[in-house]
Amino acid sequence: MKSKTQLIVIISILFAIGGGLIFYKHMFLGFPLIPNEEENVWSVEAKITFKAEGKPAKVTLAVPGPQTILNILDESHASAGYGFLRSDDKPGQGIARRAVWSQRDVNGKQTIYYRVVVHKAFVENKAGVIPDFSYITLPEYNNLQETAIKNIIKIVSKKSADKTSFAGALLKLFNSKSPSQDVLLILGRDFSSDSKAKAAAGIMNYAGIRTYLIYGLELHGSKTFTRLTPYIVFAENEKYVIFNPMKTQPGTDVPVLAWQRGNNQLLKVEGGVNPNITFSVVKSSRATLGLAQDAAQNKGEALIDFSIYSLPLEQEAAFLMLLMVPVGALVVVIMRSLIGIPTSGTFMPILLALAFASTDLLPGIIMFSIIITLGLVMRTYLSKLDLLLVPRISAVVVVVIIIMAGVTILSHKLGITGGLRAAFFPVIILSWTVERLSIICEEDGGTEAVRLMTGSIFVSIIIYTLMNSEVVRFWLYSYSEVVLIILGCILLLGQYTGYRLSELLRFAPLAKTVKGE
Amino acid sequence: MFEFATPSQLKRAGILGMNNRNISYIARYNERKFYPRVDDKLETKLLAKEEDIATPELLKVIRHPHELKGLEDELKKYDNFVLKPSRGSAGKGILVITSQKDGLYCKPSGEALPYNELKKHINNTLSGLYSLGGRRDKVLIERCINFSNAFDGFSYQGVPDVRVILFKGFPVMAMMRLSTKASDGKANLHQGAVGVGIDLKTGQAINAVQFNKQIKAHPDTGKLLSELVVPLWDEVLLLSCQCYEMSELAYIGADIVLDADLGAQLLELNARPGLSIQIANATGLRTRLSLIESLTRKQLRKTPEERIAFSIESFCQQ
Repeated sequence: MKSKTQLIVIISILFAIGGGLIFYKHMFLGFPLIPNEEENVWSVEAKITFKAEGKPAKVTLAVPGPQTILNILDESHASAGYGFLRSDDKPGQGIARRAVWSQRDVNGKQTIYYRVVVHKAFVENKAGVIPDFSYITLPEYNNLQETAIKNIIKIVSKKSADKTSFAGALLKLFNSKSPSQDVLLILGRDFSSDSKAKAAAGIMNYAGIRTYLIYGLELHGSKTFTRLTPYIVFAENEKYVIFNPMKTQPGTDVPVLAWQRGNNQLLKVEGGVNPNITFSVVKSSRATLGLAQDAAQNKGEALIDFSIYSLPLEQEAAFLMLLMVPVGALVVVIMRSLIGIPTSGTFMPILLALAFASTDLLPGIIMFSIIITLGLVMRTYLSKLDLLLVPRISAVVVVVIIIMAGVTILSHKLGITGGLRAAFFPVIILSWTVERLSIICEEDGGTEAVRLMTGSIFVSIIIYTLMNSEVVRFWLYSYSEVVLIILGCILLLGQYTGYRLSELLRFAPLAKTVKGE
Repeated sequence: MFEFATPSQLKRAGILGMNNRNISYIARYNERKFYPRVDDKLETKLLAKEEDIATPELLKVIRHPHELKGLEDELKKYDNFVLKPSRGSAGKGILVITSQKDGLYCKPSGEALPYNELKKHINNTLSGLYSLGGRRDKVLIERCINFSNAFDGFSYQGVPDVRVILFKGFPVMAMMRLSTKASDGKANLHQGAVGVGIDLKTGQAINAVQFNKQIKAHPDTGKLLSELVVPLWDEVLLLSCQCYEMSELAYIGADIVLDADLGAQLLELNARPGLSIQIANATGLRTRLSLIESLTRKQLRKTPEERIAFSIESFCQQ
C-alpha cells in the first residue's frame, strides 16, 4: 500500500518534529511542563560605604561574570553622581570582571550599590567552566615549599584516580586533625578557609590541574553577608566541580554565586577611607515559563525569537484561539471514531465551542436553544411562503440577527449580565444550524434532529472545557508545536478500524446471541 | 438498561464496525471515480439501461426551474408518479404520489397536495436541499412501482424493498425493509422500520428486528414475519449481482423492489450501505467478507450466476 507507507512517513515526521521541539524546549531551555511552576530567584546586592576626603574618588569592585550554574537576569547599580565603567578582563571567558565608579569632587559618607539578579540555570552554561590557564598566576614557591608540595602530591596521587578525588584527598590532608609537616609548611599555620583555598589551588595548579579560586555567596534564604566565601573550582570532563576548602566532598548544598574570580582585591577605594562592603541576598520567585523565555531570548535562541512569544500580547491571544481549533478537531475525531457520538457536521461542535467562548457556557447554551427554537418556528413559517432555498436561508439569517439583537437588548435592560455579545460568526453558525435542523426534522423526524443536536452540543461542551483548561492553554502557548502532534494523532485515528463505543452498545444483543460462522 | 458488549465479543461474532467498513472496505476497494454512478440516480438509471438491468420507468427529468412550465398539464397524464432528487440519499426528498383526485395529488398516507406543493418540492430539490453536499440537483419523475401483493400485510404504507450487500459482485447478505407506522411509511430502520434478514438460498425470512430488538410479528399488521418469502428471489439476486459489472464498485448495497407486472426492479444503489443488516440477519459480515477477500484473482472472475452459487454454498446452512 503505497499510500499507507506515505501516511506512516508523514505521521512519523509530525511526531518527530513536534516531539523533538517539545523535548528540546523542556530539556534544554528549561520550559516547564505544568503551568504556574515557579523558580527561586535571588537578588544579591553589594553595598559599599566609605568616607570621601574631598578628593577625586575611584572605587573598583570585582563583580560577577557569566556564571556556570546560574543565569544572570539583571545587573544594575546605584550611585549618586558617579561615572560608571565595567570591564571584562577577557570578555566571554567568565574571568575577572570589574566595575569602576569615579567622581571628581566628593566629600562625606558615600554609598554605592551593585546588584545582580540570578536564578538557577536549567542547563549548565559553558562559561567559566574551562578557564584560561594564562590568567591563573601561580604563586612563587621556595625550594622547601616545593619539596613539601611534591611530597603532598605524591601522597595524594596515590589515593586518587581523577581530579575530583585528587582535590578531595588533598583537602582531607588539609582538614585532618593532625596535619603533616608538609601541610603545616604550606599552610603556614593558617587554617582559615582562605588560606586553605589558596594553598589547594596552588598545589593543584602545580600538579597540572587547572584550578582557580572563586569568592562567592551561598544562595538559600534571604541573608546578609559581610564577607565572601572562598571555593576552588575546576573542570572534570567539561563539568563544573566546586569544593569548599573546609570540606572534603565536592559540591555545595545550595547554588553558589561566584562573585569574584581569582584572588585579586575585591574592593579598592582611592580617595576615601574606611571602606566597607556587605552583601545582602533576598530570595523570591518568578514563573518558570517567563524565566525560560527570557533566558532563551537573551541567549539569542532563534527558536524563541521566531515564535509566538515575540508577538504583541493581543495577537498572542488571537493566536491561542486559533490553536484551539486543532484541539477541537481532535476531540471531534475521537468522539466520532472511538466513541461514536453523532454530530451534525465535523466543524459544528468546534464553531459552537468558539461561540460559547465569547458568551460563557451556560448563558451560551440557553441563548442557543432559545434562538434555535425561535429560528425553527420562523423557518417553518417562511417555508410556507414558497421561498426558494437561498432566499429562505438568507431570510433566516436576518431573522436570527434580529432575534439576537432583541435578546441582547432585553437582557441588558433586565440587567442580566453575560448576555450575548453578538459576534460575527455565531450568527452564521446559528442560521445554518437552524436550516440544517429543520431539514433533518422534516426528513428524519424530530428525534433524529434532537439526537444530532445533542451530540453536537455535548462535544462542543467538551471542546469548550478544554479551551478553558489552564493546562491546555499553557501547553498550546508554551509548546505550540504540539499542534503537529495533534495532526499526527488525527491522521493516526483516521486509520483506526476498531469498534466504536456506540457499536459495543448497538450490537450487544447480536454479539451475545450469535455464534460466529 | 445499557448493556455493553466487549470488543472481543463483537469480533468473535464477526460483526463489522463502522470504522472498519469505511477504512478497510469502502475506502480500500471502492474507486472514487465510480461514485457518481451510484450517487447520481440519473446516471445509475442510464447505466442500468445499457446493461439491461430493469429499473422503474423514467417519465421525465427536470434540470432547471424553467422546465416547470407546462409541467402541471403533463403530470395530469400520469396516474401515479414519484418525484426523486437525483443526488439524494437515505430516501430524502422523495415524494410519492399514488393517485390524483380533484386536481389534488394524493400521497400514500392519504394526504392531498395542491400542485403548488409539488412545485415547491421540485424547486427545493433543484436548489440542492436534499442532495449530498447541498449542490444543485435534478428531479427525476418515475412511474410508481405497482407492488406485488406478496407483501400485503407485511408493510405499512411504504415501499418494501430488498437490500442486498455485494462485495466484489458476490451477494454477501440480504434483508428486507418493511415500513411501519413508527417509521412514517419510510424504510428507515433508525426510524422504526422493520428489518428482516433474508436467506440467500431460499429468499425466506431468517430473523426480524425493529429498533434493534428481535420481533416476531409486524407491529402494525400483526402478521407473523417468519412467513415472509421474497417471490422471484433468484431474479432479485441476479439483478443485484449484475450491478457489480454495471457500477464497478466493490462494496455496494443494491435496493431491489418487486413490481407486480414487471418483476424485480433496481430502485437504487448505495455506496455506503448501513450495518443494521447484520442485526436483521443475526449474523456478522466480517467472516463472509474475509472469505471473499481471500479468493484469488482467478476465483474472483465468475459470472453473476457463478457468484451467486458460490455465496449460497459458502454462507447458507445447507
